[in-house]
Amino acid sequence: MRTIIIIPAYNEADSIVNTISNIQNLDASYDYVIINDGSTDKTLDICLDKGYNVVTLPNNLGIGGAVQTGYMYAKEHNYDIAVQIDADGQHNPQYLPNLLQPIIENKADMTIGSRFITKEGFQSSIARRLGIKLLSSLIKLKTNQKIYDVTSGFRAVNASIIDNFSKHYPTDYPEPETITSTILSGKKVLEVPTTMNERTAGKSSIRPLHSVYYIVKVSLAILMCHKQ
Amino acid sequence: MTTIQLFVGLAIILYYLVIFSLIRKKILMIKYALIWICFGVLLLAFDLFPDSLYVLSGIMGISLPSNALFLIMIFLLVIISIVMTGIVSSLAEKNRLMTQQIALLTDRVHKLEQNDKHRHEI
Repeated sequence: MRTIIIIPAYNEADSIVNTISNIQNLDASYDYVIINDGSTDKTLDICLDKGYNVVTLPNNLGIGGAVQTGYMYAKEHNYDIAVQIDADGQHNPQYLPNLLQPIIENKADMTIGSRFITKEGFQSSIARRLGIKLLSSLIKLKTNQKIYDVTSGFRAVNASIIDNFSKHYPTDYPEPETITSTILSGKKVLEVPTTMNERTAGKSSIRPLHSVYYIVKVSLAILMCHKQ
Repeated sequence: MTTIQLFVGLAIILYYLVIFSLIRKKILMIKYALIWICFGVLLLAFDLFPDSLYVLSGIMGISLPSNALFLIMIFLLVIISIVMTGIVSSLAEKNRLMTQQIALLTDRVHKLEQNDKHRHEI
């Protein structure tokens, strides 16, 4: 099975080298593509300098648009599995095999690396956990399946979902919405226990002032979600 | 003709001058200026035939014609705004798709160029 790792990066000059070497130091070797989302810092220079495989968006599209470009790339190059990993060092690539296993064995179409199953490692702030709980219950309401870490950006999907995502993917705050539409399309979504680190650099795309907008927009998106 | 009619008439002439100069400077596309040209015609109709407002407010059951005018105008402006946000949304969508395609094509061209260079060196 050909696997590609999608790494969306917006102004991640401080952490991109670490993230890539963590991936390159794994036992198995994986293809990867960095989607440079119109960074204004040295992210692109570093990638070109180090010879990383990088696709650069001429405009800043936001996390959803960047990740979707990764899925388009995966589809164009006929990959069987695509994994998303954040460039900021939050996700530990050590867990990659755990995410890939259920997909390879055909037990799931999509796996989500979840920090809330074993409750180890960085758990995020109380306010954020509350928001995640709310979105999690909305998804349960809509799909009848309980997913705990709904905002996790550490996910793996098979070829049929790569195809779906390359066609339809929300531009901002995509994770909870895409989980919902994937389950509604009759796909199997499985949560896999992982631990996450506090981001080593960069800012979360969920900033405090935007949190109200975030909750309202994502809740509405989940409730209005339909089969794709 | 009353003073208010004269005043509004002058304002409408100014309104059209602004719109047509924006079209001439290519700031406004005719396609999107049409709605404002029609809007001006409506204003002009109310200005030239103020009695129509009394008839309209009677039909709508509003005692003051000015209130009927405000209601009609606000309603029209809300509709125009909704159409505009629709246009902005579709532009944002097209812009996203174009950005992604440019990125992927640039990547392919870049890799083709590198392969080409390799072949020349061999």
